[in-house]
Amino acid sequence: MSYPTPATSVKLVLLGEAAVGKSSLVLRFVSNDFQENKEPTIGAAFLTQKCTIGERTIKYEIWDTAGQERFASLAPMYYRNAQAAIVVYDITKPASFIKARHWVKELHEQAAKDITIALVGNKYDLVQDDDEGQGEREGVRKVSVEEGQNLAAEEGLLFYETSAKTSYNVNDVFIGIGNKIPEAASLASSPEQNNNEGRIDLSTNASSNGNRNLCSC
Amino acid sequence: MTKSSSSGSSGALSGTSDVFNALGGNLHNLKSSQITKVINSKYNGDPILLIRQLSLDLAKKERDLILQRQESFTREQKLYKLCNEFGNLSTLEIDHKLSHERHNHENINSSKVDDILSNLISSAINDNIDTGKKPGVSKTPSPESESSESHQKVLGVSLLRGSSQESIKPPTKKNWLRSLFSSSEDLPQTGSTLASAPKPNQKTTVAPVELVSFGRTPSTISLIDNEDANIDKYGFFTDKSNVRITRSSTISLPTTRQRRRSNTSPPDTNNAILIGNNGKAQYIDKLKQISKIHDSTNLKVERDWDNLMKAINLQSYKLDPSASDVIVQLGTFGINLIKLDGNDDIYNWFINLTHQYGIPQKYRRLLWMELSGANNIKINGVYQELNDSPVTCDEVQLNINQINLDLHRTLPFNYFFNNLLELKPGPNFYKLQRILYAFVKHCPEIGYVQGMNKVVGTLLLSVLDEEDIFWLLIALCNEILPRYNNLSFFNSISLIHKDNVILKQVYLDRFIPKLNQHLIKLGGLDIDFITMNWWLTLFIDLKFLDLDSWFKIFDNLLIMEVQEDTNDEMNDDDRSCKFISLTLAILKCLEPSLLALHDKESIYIYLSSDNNYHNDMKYTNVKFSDLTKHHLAISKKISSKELIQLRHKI
Ligand SMILES: Nc1nc2c(ncn2[C@@H]2O[C@H](COP(=O)(O)OP(=O)(O)OP(=O)(O)O)[C@@H](O)[C@H]2O)c(=O)[nH]1
Ligand SMILES: [Mg+2]
Repeated sequence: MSYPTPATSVKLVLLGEAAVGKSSLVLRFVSNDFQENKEPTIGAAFLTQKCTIGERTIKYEIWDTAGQERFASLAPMYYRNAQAAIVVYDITKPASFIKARHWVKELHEQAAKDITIALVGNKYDLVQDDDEGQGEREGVRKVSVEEGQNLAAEEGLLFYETSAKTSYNVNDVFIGIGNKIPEAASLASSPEQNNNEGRIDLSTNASSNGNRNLCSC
Repeated sequence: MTKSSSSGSSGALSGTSDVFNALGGNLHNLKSSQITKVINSKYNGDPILLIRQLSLDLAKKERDLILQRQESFTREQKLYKLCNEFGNLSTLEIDHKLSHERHNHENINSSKVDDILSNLISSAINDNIDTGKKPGVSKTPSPESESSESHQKVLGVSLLRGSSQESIKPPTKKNWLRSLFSSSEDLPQTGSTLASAPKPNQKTTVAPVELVSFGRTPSTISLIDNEDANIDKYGFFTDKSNVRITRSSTISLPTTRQRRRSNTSPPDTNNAILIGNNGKAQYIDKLKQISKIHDSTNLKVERDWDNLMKAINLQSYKLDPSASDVIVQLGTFGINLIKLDGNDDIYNWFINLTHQYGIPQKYRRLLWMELSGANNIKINGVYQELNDSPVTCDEVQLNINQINLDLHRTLPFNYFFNNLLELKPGPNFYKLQRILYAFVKHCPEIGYVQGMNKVVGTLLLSVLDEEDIFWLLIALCNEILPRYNNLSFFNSISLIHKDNVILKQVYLDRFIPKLNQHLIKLGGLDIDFITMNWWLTLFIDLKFLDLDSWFKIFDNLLIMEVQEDTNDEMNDDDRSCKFISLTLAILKCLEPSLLALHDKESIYIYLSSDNNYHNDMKYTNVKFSDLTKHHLAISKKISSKELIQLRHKI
């Protein structure tokens, strides 16, 4: 399990209300898997995943935090040294969007100045129309795309709508973050090493999952 | 309870004369003068005698009720099993049906259960079995699907209000026979029934194989009973991805990962029971031998416990012969045991047995309730009241919202919580819901904290019933778990984390220096976040501990050993020390495995509770005996005095 270490390590933290799908997004990203009833995260969970974006290999060191308000006091310990954060809400739960606003604000106030933040509206599959793939089911969506986009524009965030269930746009989030992170300590890796097992090559399969990328990048 | 006991004596008492024979009935309807008359004529004018009589009657009725309830509970359980195995019914549907009955008739009528049961059995017997499926004959799909369809209908009529069955996709366990045996070759031969070999495609009404032997030759039914191939004794679906599941099951068979994820694939493959597979016979023989040895040790331990319990009873009788109905006098944390014989003999005996072996199943309910102090705080009727009471304040509602988010996410791979075969919640799902709701109503100042769901959920797999667990949870918060600045354990996440930082920075180096060096070499790990998680789930969430061992750890959490230095019972800080030394003991057990891992993330994944990632990793199974050994050794060297100092420093 030991890799040569050409990869840039990026410390990334996931924040967001309970049950919005933080752990599910990570599970999709790391193991390309989904569970209907994912157990709540207690405290936090640590995971890593390497991925290749173009020439670069990035190793994400992910802290997936617990969503319950009770655990909020621990959050600063996770985002303190983080270079990237994903703030997640559930597009069918308006309260989770309010919570996301709070997290964004807190990150801007407390976290590192140059932290890259992605705002992610998850559970897109719930609003998706079964038959077509085009159009949306009525009434299920509670947070509009515009609301998300506006917040992202105001605060200078990346923005995506995703589904951990169908894997729609999930990898794109991590590519987007990888692209935006300054190439600071990156050691160029030789191309042969890019497809080591345990890595996924995001640059090739990214577009195969989702077809409607809401992000500007 | 009182409601049903008064309705128990159904004959309405109209005349005074009847009263003499049936006290406790409608006495309250009589005029005071009539009651005085009764007292005078029957009790020599002494009202105390009447009270005695009344309370005796009450006690008797209560006893009858308990017995009745027990009986109907076991019936219910049997019914569940039957319905689940043979009836195409989900636990939820049965649950609904039963609770519907209960509401109509206050108390579930046992004859009703009989009715349902016999209906069910008869409809199952009437079910057509496709005899074409017998060995050597090629499968013919059409009659097979027909038979399962008719089977479904019969049951739909007899037990359900039909509608739900039709709207929902056919349950995955469509043809129960098929689902029990993976292919026609695996069908067991039950002598005459199938050996008479009717011609293929000819449909005859033959009782299903299992039911032929039902009640007569228990061997087949018990085989199916216990080893429902994919479910272990605690109801966990055996699945490679969940390590605990595979380990605690007696026979684990490969299961397809897709089954869990896709809604449509029927559980028809790999469900085979070990019939007709000679290759595995040897393996089973070996297992049997091992289990024999295991059983004999168990027997010895159980005898030891029996003797201890006898000694306790004897002592408590000596102290107070009048209290002959007191079964045990343990007191909270076993503290009363010291008073019992004037010296520490019984107490030490008790502590030693618990340390070494944990409490045997049959004494668990009694001892858990007693040791935790739950028995002291339990008030009859309160739990029911809480269940019935509406949510009044926002604070409680917020807690309930969070509980609702977590109910489906509690033990999702356990049959009793999440019936994956039918994609419905199991019965424990509702018990968990009621317990947690009642808890946040009763203790709004503590509220719901993630982790409680898993603790309560796992306790529901033990021998305790729903209401007991409710009181046990309260006792845990108030008596057993360390409190921080007088706030409950579950309200002290930051301080718990701090203790874990102390554990990492100070104690790890002291007790497991090699491991500490190893972690530092790898660049330093924030294991405090992981061990904090262990604490908040009371060590349930560890994949290297099977459930039996966890119950033993829980046994030990409930006893608060008298401190050697002060001779006092444990205070909050001592309890924190206990958590610290337990955590260190677990890490000590894992030390060899951890030293063999040479990168950070492997160690994180190894220690974290989430086992959905990297299924290929091998986990040590921590032995309870090793754990206690380390725990006892370490706990002697950790003092609360020092811990308090360290808390100030860090
Ligand atoms: N339909 C749908 N369900 C999802 C999606 N992502 C997650 N879920 C479900 O939502 C529930 C919560 O998901 P988690 O990943 O555990 O949420 P979380 O944010 O990690 O929750 P906490 O750990 O409690 O903070 C689970 O039952 C998931 O199966 C999604 O994209 N679509
Ligand atoms: Mg989570």
